[in-house]
Parts: sequence; C-alpha cells; structure tokens
Amino acid sequence: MPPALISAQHIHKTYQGNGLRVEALRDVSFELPEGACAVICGPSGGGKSTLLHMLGGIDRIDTGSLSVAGVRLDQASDAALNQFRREKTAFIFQFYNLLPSFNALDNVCLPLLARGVPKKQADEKAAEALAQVHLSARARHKPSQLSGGEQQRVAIARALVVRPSLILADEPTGDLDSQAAQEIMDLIVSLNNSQGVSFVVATHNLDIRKIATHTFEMRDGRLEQA
Amino acid sequence: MKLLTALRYLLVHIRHDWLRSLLTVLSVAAIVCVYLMSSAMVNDMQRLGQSLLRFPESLLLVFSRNAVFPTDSHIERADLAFYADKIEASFGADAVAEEVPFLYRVVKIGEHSVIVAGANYTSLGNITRLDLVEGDWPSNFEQVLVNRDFAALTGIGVGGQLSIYGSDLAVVGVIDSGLWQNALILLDYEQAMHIYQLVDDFQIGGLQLAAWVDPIEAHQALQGVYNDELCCHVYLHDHYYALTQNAFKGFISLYGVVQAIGLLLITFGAYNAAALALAEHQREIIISRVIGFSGRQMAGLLLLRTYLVMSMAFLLGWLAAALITHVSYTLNPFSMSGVMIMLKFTAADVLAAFAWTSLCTVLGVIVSSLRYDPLKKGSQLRSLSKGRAV
Repeated sequence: MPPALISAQHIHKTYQGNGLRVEALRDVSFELPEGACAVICGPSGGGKSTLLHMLGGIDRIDTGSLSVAGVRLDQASDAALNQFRREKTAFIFQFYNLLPSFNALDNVCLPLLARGVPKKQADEKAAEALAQVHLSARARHKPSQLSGGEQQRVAIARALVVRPSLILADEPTGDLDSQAAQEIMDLIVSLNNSQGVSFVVATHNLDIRKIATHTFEMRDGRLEQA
Repeated sequence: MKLLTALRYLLVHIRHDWLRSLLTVLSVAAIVCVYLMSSAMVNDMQRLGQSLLRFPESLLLVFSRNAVFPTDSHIERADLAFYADKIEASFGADAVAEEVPFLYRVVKIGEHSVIVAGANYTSLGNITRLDLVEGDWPSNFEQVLVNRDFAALTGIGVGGQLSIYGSDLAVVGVIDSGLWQNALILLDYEQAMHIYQLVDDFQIGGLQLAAWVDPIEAHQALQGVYNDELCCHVYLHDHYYALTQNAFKGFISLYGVVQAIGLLLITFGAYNAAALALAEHQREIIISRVIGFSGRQMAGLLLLRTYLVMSMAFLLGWLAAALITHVSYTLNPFSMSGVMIMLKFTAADVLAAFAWTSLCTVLGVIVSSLRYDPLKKGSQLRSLSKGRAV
C-alpha cells in the first residue's frame, strides 16, 4: 500500500466576520495515497474551495490534524508553511489566474524564478512544461491571445513546472466549453498516469468523476466518500 | 530572482500597464520639475541679495528715500553736499574726505543685462579695491573698462566694441573691483555724464569719511537731520546690505515655500505610486504569492517597480526643468537690477531631490505594504476562485 499523501483527521474551519459565522469545514477526515486523482464534488458553497486552501497551506485549520506530503500543516510555522507551499503543492483555478502582462512562457517561468532558479534554466523547464500541455506553439502569446482552454493548459503547465507532490484544482473546467473541458480532463489523467502527479480536483462537474481514483461528496462542510 | 530578471519582468509589467504608469510618471515629473525650477529661483534670489553693492565701512551711502535698488535712486550734487555739510558741522572740517557720485544704469549687451557704473576712477581707487588685471586704463571718452564677470558673461574683453546710449566704445581694460559682484561696464564719471548727456545727475552718492571719523557716530549724527525736501536716506554699508537682503527675503521665502511644497508633493507622489501599485494589482500580487513568491520577495518587487517608476519620473522632471530653464535663459534672458537671472539649479539641488524621492519611495512602499499581507487574508485568496478579471 503506497504511503498516505494526505491525512486529515477531524478538521474544522470556521470563518467569522461582519456578524456572520460560517462553519466551512465540519469534522472532515480522509486519507489519500500518493499518485491519487481525487475528485470532490458538491454544490457551490459546500466547502470544496476551503478544503483545497487548507490542503495547499494557504489557510490554516482551526482544529484537528492535517498532514500533506509528510508535513503537519496544523503544527507548521509560517516559514515552514511558506516552504511547503513552494515545494509541495501547486494550484489551478477556474479562471486560470494567469498574469496578463506576461506571455505563456513567462507565466510558467514565474514559479521557478520565485524559487531562485536562473532565468535560462527556468525558460528551458517552462518550455518543457508547455510542451507537456501541447502549447509550445503558443509560448509567446499573452493570456488575452489564448482561448479559455489554452489558458487553463498554461495554468496547468505553471503548476507542473515546479514538480509538486500535489496539484489542487479548483473547478478547472468550470469556465470551459465541453470540448475544452474534455481536453483538460484528458490532460489531468495523462499527467496522473504518466508522471504520477497527484491531483485533488474540486468541481460540481459530475463528468470529472470518470477520471477519479477517489471520489468524495462535500456538502455543508462535511465530506463523505462517494 | 536575480535583479536583471526582475527588472526585465517589471519593465514588461510597466509597459503592459502603460497608461496608469504614464500618468504616475507625468504627475511626479511635473512636481520634480516645479521643485527644481523653484530651487533655481531661490539660487538666483540669494545671488541677487548678495550682489547689489559691497561698500567699505568708511563710506556712507546717500540714496533716494525708500529706494532699494541703485537704479531706482536719483539724487543730485546738492543732496550730497547737504549731508557732507552736516557731518562736518558735527565733526569739524575735513571730516568728509571725498564726495563720490555714482551713475548707475542697467543696459542690454547682446542677450545680457549688465550694469553700467559711472564713477571717478581715482575716487573709486581711494574708497575700494580697483585693480587693472588686463589691458590699459582708458585715455579718452571712447574707451571703457569692464570687469571679469562682464568678460566672462558676454565674451567681450579687451579689444571688444560696445555701444551704449548711441556711443561706440572700445574696451581697453579689464578690472577687478570689490564693489560690484555682477557684470559691469565702468565709465569715468565725466565720460558717463557726457554719454548720457547729464549734468551732475546721478543715482547714489558716497561720502568717504576721514580715517578719524567713526562711521557709526557720523551716521547717528545724521539721524535727526533728514531733509524731507531732499527726500534722501543715508546708509551705513551694513544697513544697506541688510536692506537688500531683506528685499529678497520675501522672494527667497516664497520660492522656499514652493520648494517645500514640491518636496511634500514628491512624498505624496512616492506613496501614491506605491499604494496604487498595490491597490491596482492586488489580484496579481495574490496570484504571485500563491505560485510561490514570498511576502519579502513581493515587497522587494513592489519597491523595485515603484523605484523604477519614480526614477523615470525624476529623470523626466529633471530633463523638463533643465530644458525649460535653458530655453527660457537662451530665448528670453532677463535680469533683476542688472544681475542676470541664470535659472540654474545646482547638482546639490538635484541630488537632494533624488535622495528625498528615493527615501520617500522606500517609506511609501514600506507603509503601503504594512497595510496588508495577501496571504493572511483568506477572503482575498478566496477571491481567486471568483471573478475572471486579472
């Protein structure tokens, strides 16, 4: 049995503000092995994005224990969390979130430059990552010159380029037509199978279940294995 | 991330965001330009206040009442004689060693306004330093002397030709005198009366006191005898100097205030450039942090970006100020009381402004950055899952 990539035990997260108190995660527990491709389905506002933020170390849980890629996120210092974010995970968003000033190659380079990789080396790795998502021909195009599907593929290349243990995808096909969505799903399957990259995908697109090794349902902050 | 790589990315970012960047650059450049031009005016006013006339202590000066600038004064022999008599009445005969009338005009030579002074050479030599440093003393009414400042300013020295009030004059000598700090053509008194067709009609009078007369006591002796009909004032050298300094104090203060406002606006400009970069690129900053940039890296990039924009603005403002002052000085030269308004700001002015701009940029970025850290605000992070625009 492969070692657990994610181990979450009884995690809770509550947001408070403007007189409102929202229990975003309620007693969530699950485990995922390395190389998994997990899909979390459920309606909007159910807590899927919140769970991804916790798994990605960009927000902290209130109670419980959470271990991802061997790092105890509930006990990590800010510096350790920073290091975890840089080395272990990468994000893909529904609306791509590419930087509009820079072309595809530069967008993919940025995570490497943030990690101190020299520009020439970063360019080579970014070109490789773009080739993996079949976008070499569009490397010099800016986001505004790319279709939605192409932008999402650039976002996937940007996530891949740092070789993370885990890629967290938040509604990666939510803004795409069915053909582009299918291409993205195929790409995720291919990367998962060929390179062993682990994915956790949050979506309410039920078609994505077809690519999952593990499927969860999230509703009102509670997670259940489907 | 290496500096050169960061600069390349930031320049691409600034170019992509060119309209907002341009507006920031132009607004700060305008402020820098105003600051440097007001510095140039302060420099000119300080020079003016120091350069009207420098008299020896033993000389009392007779001016038209309330006149500050020599060109505004107008007195006659009788006025000078009146005060000489009063001094001698108090201190005895020969208390006034010499009565020295000065003609004082401002004329334009080429593009430059310069002083024309008419005074008896021998008398001048008695009351102040008057050294011939080049050429000869004039031997007739068609020959004149100029000082070093004049030669430097106009390029006309010994052998040059001048035309004053319809008279063609040859420059035969260059003098150095402690009395004038500005560009000067020096005529003999009789020559000046001849050229200007006057008879003992001049601007200021000097009363050279005998060595045994205390100038302060002599001046005090005249306090009670101001003659309303003569409408004159008598000054000790330091009183006159204080008067001229005071006359320019208002200008200096005014332009000093403009300078201070300029510096204050540079402060706001730097803060605004940093705050705008933060406010208008929040989403990009959050994305950058999520893909791996640390808070410190982002602060460094923000500082570098703001510094680039401010440096461009400073350079543009500096060039604009240099161009405006140069064009103004070249195309429309003007003077005040015979002293050229040079409109020159110094290297120290530029360095001070740049140092201040740099300091304000750093502080602006620090203050702006302290206001928030994107990774500590879950709501901002959650915004990445919403909305398309970046």
